[in-house]
Amino acid sequence: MHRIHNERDRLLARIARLTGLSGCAGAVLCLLVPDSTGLVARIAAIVLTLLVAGAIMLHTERGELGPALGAAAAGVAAILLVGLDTPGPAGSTAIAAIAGAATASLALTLVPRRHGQLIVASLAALVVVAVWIGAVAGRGSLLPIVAAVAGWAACGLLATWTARAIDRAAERISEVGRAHEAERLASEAESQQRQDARLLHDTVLATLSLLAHSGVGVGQAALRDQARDDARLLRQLRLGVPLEVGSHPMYAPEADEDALGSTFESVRQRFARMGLDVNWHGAGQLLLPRDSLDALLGALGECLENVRRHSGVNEADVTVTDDERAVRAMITDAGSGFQTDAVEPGRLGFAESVVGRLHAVGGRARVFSSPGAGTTVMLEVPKP
Amino acid sequence: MSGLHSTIERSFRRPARSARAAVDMRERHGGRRMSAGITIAAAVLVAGHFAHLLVTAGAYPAGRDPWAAWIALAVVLAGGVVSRLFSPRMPSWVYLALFTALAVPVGLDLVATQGLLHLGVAPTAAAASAVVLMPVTTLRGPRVPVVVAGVVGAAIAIAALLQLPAAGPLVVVGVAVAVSAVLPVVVAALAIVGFRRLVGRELDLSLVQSTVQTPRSAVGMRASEELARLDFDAESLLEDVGSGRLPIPLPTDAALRAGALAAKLRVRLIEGRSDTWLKHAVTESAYLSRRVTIDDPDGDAGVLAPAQRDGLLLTLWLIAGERRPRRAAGARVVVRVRSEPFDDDERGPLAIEIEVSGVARRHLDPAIWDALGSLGSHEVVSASDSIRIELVCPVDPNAPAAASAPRSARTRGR
Repeated sequence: MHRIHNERDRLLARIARLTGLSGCAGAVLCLLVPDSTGLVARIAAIVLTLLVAGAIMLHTERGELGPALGAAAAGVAAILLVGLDTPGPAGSTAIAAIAGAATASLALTLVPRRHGQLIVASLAALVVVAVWIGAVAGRGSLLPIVAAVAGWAACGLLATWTARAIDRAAERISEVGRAHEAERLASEAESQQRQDARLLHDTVLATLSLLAHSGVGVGQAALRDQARDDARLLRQLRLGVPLEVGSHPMYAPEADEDALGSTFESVRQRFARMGLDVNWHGAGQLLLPRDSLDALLGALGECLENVRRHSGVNEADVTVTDDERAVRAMITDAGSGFQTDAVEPGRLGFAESVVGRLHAVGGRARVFSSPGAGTTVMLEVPKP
Repeated sequence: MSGLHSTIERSFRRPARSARAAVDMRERHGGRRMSAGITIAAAVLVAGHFAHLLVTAGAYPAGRDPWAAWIALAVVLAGGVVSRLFSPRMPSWVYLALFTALAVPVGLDLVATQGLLHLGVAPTAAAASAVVLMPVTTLRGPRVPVVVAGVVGAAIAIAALLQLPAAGPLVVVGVAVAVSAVLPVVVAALAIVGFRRLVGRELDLSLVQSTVQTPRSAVGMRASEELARLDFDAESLLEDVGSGRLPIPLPTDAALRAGALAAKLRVRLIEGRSDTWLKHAVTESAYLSRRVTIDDPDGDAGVLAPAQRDGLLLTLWLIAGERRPRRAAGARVVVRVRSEPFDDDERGPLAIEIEVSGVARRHLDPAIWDALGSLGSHEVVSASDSIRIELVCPVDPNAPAAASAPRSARTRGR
C-alpha cells in the first residue's frame, strides 16, 4: 500500500508540474505584453511568477508541503500586485493563468495528503479572494474569478478521484495477487505430486519407449497388460486416488519414508513381464527420505532397462547394502558387457536418467564393465 | 499507449483467471473511478467556459447569437452519452461521427465570435467542445482526443491572431482560451496513461510476488499444466494399447506419438530441478523478463527465506521496471547466485551479485537500498554507467544442499 501511494504521488506530481508550469509560462508571456499593467508591477509579478514556478518544481520533486505553501503565497502576491494595478486584458489573463492553472496545480498533489482537502480548500479560498479583491478594487475583469474557481475545482476533483481510483485498484491488485498466489501454490503442489510420482513415471516412460519401438521384443499380451496397468495408474494420479499396485503402495503422498522392499516388488514384476528376471539380495527395509528413495529406484529401473536391452541375458542381480552413511545398490549381469571408456559419459541417457537423478539427492553412480565380462553398476545415495 | 495491454501478457501466458482479473481491473474497478474523476473535472471546466459566456454575453452585438453553438454542443454531448449508454464499447463509426459532429459547435462559435475580440468576446463553446474530449481519453486511447483538441485549440488561436489589428492586446484573451481548451485534455491523457501504467506495473509485481512463497525448487505454473497434459496424453495412448484398440506392433504414427510423449515427459521430469522461484518470477514478469538474466546453476536462490526473496524481487523490479522507460531503456541486470562452500555439513551464506549496466546510480530508486536491507549485508561498487551490488545473505544453515530437498529437510527436522 505504501509503495502504490508513492507511485500515486509521483503520477499526480507529474500532472501538477505540467499544469503548474504551463500556467506560469502563460502568465509570464501575458505580463510581457506592454500594457498588461504598470512596469514596476509587471517586473515584480514576473519575478513572483518565476518564484511560483521554482517552488512548484521543488514541491513536485520532493513532495514537501513548504514549497507548495511558498508557491501559493508568491502566487497570491502576484495576483494582488497585478490585480490592484488596474490591469489590461493581458494582465487579467495573467491573473487567470496564475489563479486557475499555476497555483491550482497545487491541488493535484495536496488533496491526497493528510488534511489535504482542508489545505486545498483554504488555499483555493485565499486565491479566489485575492482575485476578487483585484477585480473589485482594480476594476479588472471578472473572468479571472471564473478561471480560479474552475481551475481549483477541476484540479481538486481530478486528484480526489485519481486517489480513489488508485486505492480501489490497489485493493483489487492485492485481491488478484492473493488469488494468483493461491493458484500458484495449488498448481505447484499438483505438479510436485506428479513429479513425486517418479516411480510411476519411470514405468510409463519405459512402456512408452517400448511402444515407440512398436513393441518389438516383448510379448504382445505382456505389453498390453503393462499398458493397461500404466493407464490405470495415470488415471488414479489424475483423479487424486492413492496409487496402488496390487497390494504394494507405489505412491503415498503422506509417507515420507517408505520400505524399499515393497516398492521393489513392482519393479521386479515390470521387468519380469518384459522378460528380465531380477534377483533381489540384501536389505528389504530401508529408511530413506522419499526423494532419495525415488531417485534410487528410478536409477535402478534405468539400469535394469539397460540390462534388458543391451546385455543379451535375461537375468540380473540386485544387491542392496547400507551402513550408517549411505545406501548402495549393485546391479550385476553376466551379459555381453562393454568397454566403459568407449562410451562417452553423455550416451545412452545414462547421464541424465541415472547420474543426474542421483546427483539431485547427493548420490553417485559408478559403472564397471568390460566386453564379455558382464556389467556391474553401483548406485549410492547418502542417508539423511 | 494502447500497447500497454499487450505488454502485460506478452511473453508469458498467465492462467486464465488471473489474466482476466487483471484486464477487469484496468478496465473497470479502478478505471471507472478514474473516468468518473476526469468526467467531473471536465464538467467543471465546461461550466467555467459557460460562465465565461455569461460574463461576456452582454458584449455580443445584435445579430450575433452566442447560444446556438452551445445548443449544438449540448446535442452532440447528449448523442455521445446516449451512444455510450447503449453501446459501452463505442463502435468506431460512432466514435468518428461524434468527433465530426463536434465541428458544428466549434464552427458555429467561431463564426459567432469572429471579429468581436476587440469587444472582449472570445469563443466559449468552441473551447468547451475541446474540453468535453477529456473523458473520451479514457475510452479508446488518448491519442485521437488529444489531436482533435489540438486542432480545435489551433483554430481558436488562429481566429484570435487574425484579429490582431483590431483587438490589440485582447488577442491574449483569445489565445488563452485556446490554451484552456487544449491543456485539460493533455492533462487528462497524462493522468489516464499514468494510471493504467501504474496499475499494470503494480499488478505485474503483485502477480510475480506470488513466487515468494513457493517451495525451494519450483516447477512454475506452465510446467505443471504441461505435465498434466502429457500425463493425460500418455494415459489415453496406453489405454488404447491396453484395451486392444491399437494393434501391436504399433502403427507408425502411434509409435512416433509414443516416442515424442516419452521424450517430452522425460524432459519435463528431469529438467527444471534447478529452477527456482527467482527464475519463474523473472520469466513471468513483463517488466523483468526483458532485462534481467539469472545465473544460478545450482538453484541456490531457493534457499532464501520469503522476506529475503521479497527484497530481492523488489530490488530487481525497482531497477528493471524503472518508471521512466527512457532512462532504463538500456538497463541490463545480471544476477549471479553462488553458495559459499559448505562447512561441516552446514550451509554457508549465499553470495549474490547484481550487476546493473546502462543506468547511473543516481537514477536508481532510493527504495532499492531499503529493499536490499532485508536480504543481508551489501556493498555497492559503482562506475559511470554500471553498478555492482555484492550481497552476502545469511541463510538457514540447515537448508540442505540438494536441489529438490524441502521434503528431506522436513524429515530431518523431525
